[in-house]
Amino acid sequence: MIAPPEAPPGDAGVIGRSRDEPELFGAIFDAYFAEIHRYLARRLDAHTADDLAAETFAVAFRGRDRYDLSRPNARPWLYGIATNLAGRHRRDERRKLTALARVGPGAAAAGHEDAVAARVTAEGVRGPLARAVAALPAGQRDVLLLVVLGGLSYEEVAVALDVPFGTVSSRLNRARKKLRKALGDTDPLLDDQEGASR
Amino acid sequence: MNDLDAVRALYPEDPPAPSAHTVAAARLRMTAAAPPPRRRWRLKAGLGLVAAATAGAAALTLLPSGGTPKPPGTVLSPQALLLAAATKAEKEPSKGAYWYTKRIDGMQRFPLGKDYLLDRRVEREVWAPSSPKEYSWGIERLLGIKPVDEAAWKRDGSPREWKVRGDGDFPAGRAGCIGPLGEGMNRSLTVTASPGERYALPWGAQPGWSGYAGHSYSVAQLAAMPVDPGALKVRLLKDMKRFGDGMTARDLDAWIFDLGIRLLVDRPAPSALRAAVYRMLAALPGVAGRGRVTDALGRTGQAIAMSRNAVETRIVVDPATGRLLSTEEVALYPGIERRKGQLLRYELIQEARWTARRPALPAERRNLTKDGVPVKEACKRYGS
Repeated sequence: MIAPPEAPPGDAGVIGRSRDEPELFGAIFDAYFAEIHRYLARRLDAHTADDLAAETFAVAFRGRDRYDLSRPNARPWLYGIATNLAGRHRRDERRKLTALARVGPGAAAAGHEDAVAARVTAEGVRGPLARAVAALPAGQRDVLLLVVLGGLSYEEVAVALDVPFGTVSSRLNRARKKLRKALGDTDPLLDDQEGASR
Repeated sequence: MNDLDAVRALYPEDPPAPSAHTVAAARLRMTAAAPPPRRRWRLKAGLGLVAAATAGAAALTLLPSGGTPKPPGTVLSPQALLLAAATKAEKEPSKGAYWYTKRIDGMQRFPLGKDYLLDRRVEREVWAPSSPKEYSWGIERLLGIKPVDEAAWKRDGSPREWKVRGDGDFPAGRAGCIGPLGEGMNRSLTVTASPGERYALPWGAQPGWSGYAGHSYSVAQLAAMPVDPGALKVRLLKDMKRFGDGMTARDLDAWIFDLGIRLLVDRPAPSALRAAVYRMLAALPGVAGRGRVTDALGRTGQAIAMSRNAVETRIVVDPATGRLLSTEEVALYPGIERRKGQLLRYELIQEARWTARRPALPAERRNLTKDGVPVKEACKRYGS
């Protein structure tokens, strides 16, 4: 017979051990809190993010017994919780998008993002684009922003939202069709490459 | 401009970071709201329990592990399974003239114009030499073609002949390699249900090489491969770069998984390298457990999977021996001439070991020139 199983690597190992030694879960907090906070602050605002990010980890901690230990990476799980919590603030989110439509993005990032931001403003599409995002059904917006703001892969989005992979693709495709309309693209073959990155 | 980039540009790139106070408060809040944790109770020589619990502890157990009792043969995490296989692999001696595998290789395809899948099986031996002077050989025999859905086949009049689209892997009567550059590809070929005779064909373009296309390695290369799992992955990623950039990290991990399996199945890899491959696979993100399974030869093991776009690669490992029992590639989604759950390829591994024996090649030989040398273009099939 083989030796008793070793702990799974990565986050799953930590979470598994934290079931009996709760203080170990702090490593998950340390690894992901800043990132989850940033995602929520971008989607909503920093103040709301302070509250929701904390709540994300409280929910995660309470639910750690049910974490699927065959998943070495906890990121999709945590983004899923954060997205669910953000779902209680949909009206705030729509209001925020309307505000984004009017002003620039704030602290300008260097390089590529800056050029795109400038172009978005210059072409006058900020308003239509923001309104298009705000008008998306919640499920499509969640998939879109997990990819664009969270940098999750389709598989990770499927895990985060607990939906089939096919649902992720179709939601994103539908969302992108509407976004392209808002950008004034009528050519469906235009620029199909994935632009999303962290 | 790209719509996703434009959406990202709507949002602030660097919103205000949480203050140290916010972070500390969040950390405290995380554990403060939790119910008291289960503590371990240790049984001491029948004289009572040594309790480390606080008041209100739930879920008492009398087992030293503190968990619920697990039945024997419990399902291991994929990582635990792969690491156990690594330990087994590195203990095996790697001596012999050839790494010998015997297996049943199969694949399922739709015949043209039909609504049922055909399953085509080949009995295949691969002899991969440890010497750089010997050729790798495959000795094969077509076992036959069967419909997967017998009822649909009967409704079709129980044919024993079908037209299929040649795709390099499913050509008429020819296992393995396609003909010179593209012959048979996308043409309609006729296949029959009947089994065939044994024949030999080269399993590498040159002496000491085994495998084709992106999965070929020489004896010298295998001997020089790093046996640290991290370094091995770096090395294989460099090899994968030959196929171009533009693969996401997730795609690369999936290809690494597939390449690792090829190294395990039919390359003459030394024991230390096999163990390193198992450990490398164990560390891949995205590797998932698929529980206990019984394969088509009636053997039980535990399955591990890695998905890549629309295809999932699964392997079955026997937890008792650490042996790799079978591999398969499964279609995850329906598509053109594709059904969800369709076995695009599978291998049922019957034997895999070093041997001092040499292959006894049958009289019929394929894909060799008049001088007995492998035809160069014949075996560009990707993936074996």
